[in-house]
Amino acid sequence: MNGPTMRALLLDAFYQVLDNKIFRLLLILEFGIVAAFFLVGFRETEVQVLWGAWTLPYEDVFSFFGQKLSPGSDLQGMLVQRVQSLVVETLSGSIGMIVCLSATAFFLPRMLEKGAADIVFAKPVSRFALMLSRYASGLFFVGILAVVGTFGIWLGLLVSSGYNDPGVLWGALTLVYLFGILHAFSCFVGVLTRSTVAAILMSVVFFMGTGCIHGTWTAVSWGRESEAADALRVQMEAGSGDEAADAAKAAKDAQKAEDEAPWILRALLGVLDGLHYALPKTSDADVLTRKLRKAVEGEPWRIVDDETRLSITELPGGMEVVEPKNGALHVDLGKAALVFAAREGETEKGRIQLARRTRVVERPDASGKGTRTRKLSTQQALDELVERARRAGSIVGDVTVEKTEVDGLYALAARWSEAGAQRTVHVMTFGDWIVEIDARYAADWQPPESRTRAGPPGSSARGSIEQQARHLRLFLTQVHLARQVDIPDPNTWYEKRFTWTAPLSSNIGFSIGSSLLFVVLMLGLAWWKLQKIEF
Amino acid sequence: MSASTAANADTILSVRSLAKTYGKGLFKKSGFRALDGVSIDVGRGQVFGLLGPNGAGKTTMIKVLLGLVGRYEGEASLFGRPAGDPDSRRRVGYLPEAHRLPGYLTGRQVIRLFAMMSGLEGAEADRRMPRLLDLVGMREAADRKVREYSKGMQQRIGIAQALVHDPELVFLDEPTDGVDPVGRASIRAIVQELKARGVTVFINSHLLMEVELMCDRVVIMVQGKILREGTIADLTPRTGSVRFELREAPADLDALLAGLGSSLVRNGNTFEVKLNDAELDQTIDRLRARGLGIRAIDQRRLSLEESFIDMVRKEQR
Repeated sequence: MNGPTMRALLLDAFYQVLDNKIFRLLLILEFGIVAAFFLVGFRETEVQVLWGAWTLPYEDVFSFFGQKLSPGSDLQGMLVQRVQSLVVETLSGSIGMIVCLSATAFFLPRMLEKGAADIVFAKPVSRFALMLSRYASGLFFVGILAVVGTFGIWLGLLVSSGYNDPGVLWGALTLVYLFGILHAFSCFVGVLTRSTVAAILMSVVFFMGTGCIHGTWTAVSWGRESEAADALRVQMEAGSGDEAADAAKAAKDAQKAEDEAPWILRALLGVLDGLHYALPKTSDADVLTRKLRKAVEGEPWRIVDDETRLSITELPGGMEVVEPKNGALHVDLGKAALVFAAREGETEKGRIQLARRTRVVERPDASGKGTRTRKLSTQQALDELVERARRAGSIVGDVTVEKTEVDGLYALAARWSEAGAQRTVHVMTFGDWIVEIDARYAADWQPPESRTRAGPPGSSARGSIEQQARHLRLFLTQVHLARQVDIPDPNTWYEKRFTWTAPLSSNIGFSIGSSLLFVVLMLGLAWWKLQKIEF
Repeated sequence: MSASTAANADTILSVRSLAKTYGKGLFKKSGFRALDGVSIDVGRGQVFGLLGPNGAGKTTMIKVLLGLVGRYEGEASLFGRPAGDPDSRRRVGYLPEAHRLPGYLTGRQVIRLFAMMSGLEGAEADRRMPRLLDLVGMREAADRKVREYSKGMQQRIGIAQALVHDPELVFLDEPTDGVDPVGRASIRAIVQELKARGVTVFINSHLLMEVELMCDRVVIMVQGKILREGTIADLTPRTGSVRFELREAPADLDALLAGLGSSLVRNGNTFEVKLNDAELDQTIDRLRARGLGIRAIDQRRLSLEESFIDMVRKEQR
């Protein structure tokens, strides 16, 4: 195919899109949505309509939807991302996709109608090229809408909200990607039946069908892992203390339970698995969008212990990192503790220290002649720690111990007083490791976020202890553990699993590759059928 | 039955024992035989007419030659290449019967895009555009959308797109269909111009008068077979009747021509009578001897239409 022919086909595709009434209507609607992003500004603390003519605090917006807010949340970012997600993923990615499928489904069948086909197919252009030109028409259709929409939203947010989120632009690419998959199917049906109605109906059913199948697969797989995680949690609470062994046992139990399920259920699950692998992953487009956005935004600030993947996602209020001194974000807690401290002048008023040590120890065996290897339990680790503190003579008064959780993992917390200070140590066992979070607050130190709130007369000491406890609790919510018992909701679970290195069922490369292969297959079949048509 | 027109030394279209059956497949064992062993050669520069009633296989033959229909028996070639070959299609212009041009394009865009699809650069198509629009009489309406055109206007733009890349062979399938008398005259003029430029024109039509006026050679097809072929003169034999137009016809014309010819029909100052060549001379002599002025003498031939209907009826009997 020579240059003029290719240009002619692309021009023809372009003219066809521009002349389409639904395209124009959608474009007008899109300009309306983009205009809204220029008229409504998402400022730091409030929503401003018409550049401040009417304002609405974020607290009111979130409380209207019954959402509780945690202190320090990025409300502007949360709201903007939700609105973007509503427009780009929900509105454009589902309803918009169905409208676009319906509006473009006639492109190929109409070209194949008697009278239209012979004048075009008599030209010295291959049938494959002509078919691809109609496929390209569909991509132009959605591509123009997607680019105008996402670029307009990005620009509107930048101008009216001062919010620069280039990640939203990726939405255009994933919308075209999703449409490309569906439109290939529509083209195949269009050639096979030469009927616009059949092409519309079957491609919409296909879109919804693949969405249901992948949604069901995700829910079922999430359910399987949740059961295994629950079993693991139960076993861990029973106290074997070895998460890896517990996880293996829990997985074995879950597999056994599945093997014992009725054959019909197993067959259905097998079919579901097969369909998940074979069908194009239309539902993954949303996940890809979010992944791409995250890639553009970059990883959020966090300090990670590379050995255990334990991470801290926010600094403790009023404190700064004092160890490691180079401010490294990747640390080895087994070699050097991670230390946050609050200072007033030269005086240290608060300190939180994270350290990790092995829980595998050598102990004399029963005969007293040799040794045996064993793992310390959480309680034993805590007892050792308290004993060390006692020997050092730093404990004043009693030590209180309570069971608690850090990021859902069983932990023990010991509290005691020291000279002019309060100390709380959290101990948890994690694989072969003991992790200690040691917090020490000067009695007169008030964490910064509570300084503005004056307590009743005579309550300052007690108030400080409560505020310090809250400070520690808040910090502990920012401690995250990478464990096999982390099973959030199905969509978040799938999104976390969906990586380049994951197994095939949730591998990004396989998802894109198999979907593109499906596109090639559909276009190949359509071409094969087109070759056989006699006009 | 098959027949072949006399092959020109520079044959550009050749069909040998061409047969095509539609709807023959796994579940449709007996299909419809649209072509049944047709052989034709068309030489360069001819205006060739393919006549036949509906369903005779005329359009199917063109579609086979252009690669729009496959799975045929026999041989079909254009410019010495197998039917459907893209290189030979580049040298062909085609106006299909009951065509539908893309309604979302203007007339100008249709011509430009189809020119580019035939391998012409857009700038070259633009350069040829004014002359072409003038030729088909569409300069005024060239920038309107095709869907706003009347049938005749669509036909004119259809012809323009078939000619824009200066093809050596033009297939016109029912070119005057839906076109008014003035439009038909311009299409005839276009065909004459193409012929003068040495372009071969292959016309499919059942409008016999148009074919009679335009074509050098004609093939008549019925039920997928060639029935007759030849020049217009070959296909329109004399009827034997001679029509005379006199300045003033005498009242005793019957008596004057007594014993000459048969079936005398009188109509005012004209009369028609069946005569052989010797009788024709004698008739002229008697009229002149009486001193009657002869305005016109016309040897009557069958029209192509009469001849065609006669042949088709005989075949179908």
